[in-house]
Amino acid sequence: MEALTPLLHGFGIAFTPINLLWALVGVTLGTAVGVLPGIGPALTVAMLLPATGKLDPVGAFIMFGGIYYGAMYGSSTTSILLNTPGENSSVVTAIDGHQMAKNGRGAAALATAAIGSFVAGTLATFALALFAPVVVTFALQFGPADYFALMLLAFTTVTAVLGSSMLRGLVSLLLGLAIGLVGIDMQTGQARLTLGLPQLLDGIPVVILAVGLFAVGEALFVVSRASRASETIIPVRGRVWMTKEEWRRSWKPWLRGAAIGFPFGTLPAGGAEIPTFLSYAVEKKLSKHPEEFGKGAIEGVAGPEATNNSAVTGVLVPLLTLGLPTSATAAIMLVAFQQYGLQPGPLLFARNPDLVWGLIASLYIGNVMLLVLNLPLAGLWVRLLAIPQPWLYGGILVLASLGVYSLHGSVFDLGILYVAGALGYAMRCADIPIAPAIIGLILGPLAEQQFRRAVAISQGDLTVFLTRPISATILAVAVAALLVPWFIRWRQSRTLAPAR
Amino acid sequence: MSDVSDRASSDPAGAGDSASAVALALAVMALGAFVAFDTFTGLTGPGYAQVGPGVFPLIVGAALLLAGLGLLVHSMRGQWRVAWVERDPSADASSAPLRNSVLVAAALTLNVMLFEPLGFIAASAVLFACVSAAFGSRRFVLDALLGIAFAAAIYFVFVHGLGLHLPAGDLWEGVPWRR
Repeated sequence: MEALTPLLHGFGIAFTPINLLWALVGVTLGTAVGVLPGIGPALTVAMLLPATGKLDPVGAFIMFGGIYYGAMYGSSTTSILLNTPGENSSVVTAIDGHQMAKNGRGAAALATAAIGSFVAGTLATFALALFAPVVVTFALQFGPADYFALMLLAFTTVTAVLGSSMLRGLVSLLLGLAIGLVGIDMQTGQARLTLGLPQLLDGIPVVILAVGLFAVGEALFVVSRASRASETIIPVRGRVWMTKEEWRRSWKPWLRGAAIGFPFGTLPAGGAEIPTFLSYAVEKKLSKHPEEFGKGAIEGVAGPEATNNSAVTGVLVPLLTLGLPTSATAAIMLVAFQQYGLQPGPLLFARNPDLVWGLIASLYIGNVMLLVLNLPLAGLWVRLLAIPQPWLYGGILVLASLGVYSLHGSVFDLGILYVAGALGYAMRCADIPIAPAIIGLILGPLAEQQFRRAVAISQGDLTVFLTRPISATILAVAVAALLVPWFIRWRQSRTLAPAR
Repeated sequence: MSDVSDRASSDPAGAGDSASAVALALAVMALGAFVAFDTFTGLTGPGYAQVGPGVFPLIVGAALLLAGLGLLVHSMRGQWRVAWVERDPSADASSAPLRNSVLVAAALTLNVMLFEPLGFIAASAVLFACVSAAFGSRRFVLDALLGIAFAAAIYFVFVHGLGLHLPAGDLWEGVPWRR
């Protein structure tokens, strides 16, 4: 297994005391933000960026990775004990997990979620270590035209898949692209869409927009909704471990979840949300007791929870090998790479093997830490929700302002932050998804650069995107990604129409 | 169509109103027009690069215009609405989401204005207390004290620990505890 040699090297880096500490900080923070609704991993990483600028990038990325999948663990805890998913990727878990808690099997639900996450996370990390170098060899042949096609694919899938309406997903993406245009054009040095404001010449930093859309927008939105009824926390009774029967019913969903999540994570389809729904449907179909689903079937917890962890690891494949973020958190991590002057892509593996393999190895270690943090301490994490909501949101807004101000020490940035917050509030009120805007903002300028580079190389010949086999194939997939969901919806509406 | 509007009027909590949706759709179209129009003014040609700086804004602007048009159609058909606030029909009169939203927005505006004159600690305490009040806290003095303690702790760690700059506040010039 010579393919695993770099991974062993990575373990050597991840096992240094300082990096172990960063992993611990990351998974702890991640679990906390996963538990708290309204704060997600994307926002947390974005708010930490200004403070981590002077840190060693290896340690910083080990921490960011820990935050990302730690949030998946934490979110399942609140789904099960409170019926309040901390993140979208645990919405499905709440269905049966909360029923299990009500039936007195809360401890078993937490256990199957945590162990399932561990199993799937470990398998997916293994798959990442095996597949990433393969993708790298392939990606080395990519030219500008191919990269542009790849980004176009990301745009179409993110638009088609996220949110309830394709049109609103498109609006979100276009908003992100438009904001990404603000500032000096990199090729010609001309100012675009700056409204004559010199502060906008450098463009609008992704971090400010992300913190505004997520944190400030969420605060404005939550305060505008009156129905803030507090849910009752179901206490974890006793130290009842999973029964033999529950183990027997859990292990297959774990493995299936790992298998479903990883490939979906690698696709530009918004990360861990969709595969969890798929996993739930698969488990329900394969179960001998489909009638138990919705009433506390352990498979309905084991499958989706394994899936979301596996998907998060899958997200790292396109991020590290192609520089292509497929979820909002990955988009912010791409910003982090840029902050350190690193360009994710095939060359990252050659130039920064310590970073890449240290990060991958730390995923294993983080999974072990999370198992320890989450199994015995689940009850403790839930107590985080005892923070009164007024103080929670007051604190979030103070921290968000602090993070953005310390980026450049500019009050003008605070103004941008709050305007972005107003935009995020409006988008939530209008049911427009946020993630496509973030991905558009970060990928837009890169896509434009690759497009212009490709056309410059081809000397103005636009057919270059169709004549190169790689780019033509990717574009065909992009068109399919747009048409297939539309076709499915059209068929559904035809079959559902008479029933209405 | 009538079925949809009936539901909206009979349900005070509602799923939002179509008028706001129409307004938002028009705003998206206006933004698209601006983005597209901006490219015609003052940008030079592509030169050797073949594709000039105006091409992408034109595409994005045109697409925004079209997408806004789509939103307009959706909103006029009643398929898409916007709910700025949401009242809980069973709640008492003290839950006033609109007032609370305005309070948060005002607190944020205030923070931009006070951040440098008052300094990070005082401005953050004001922000913290106002946001807490908007989220239903009735203990304004306690909130303010907690805000001061929280912001002071952050200030100390950031300025003295990490060596980053945060405004101390021009108003406190000459006060001995200032750094």
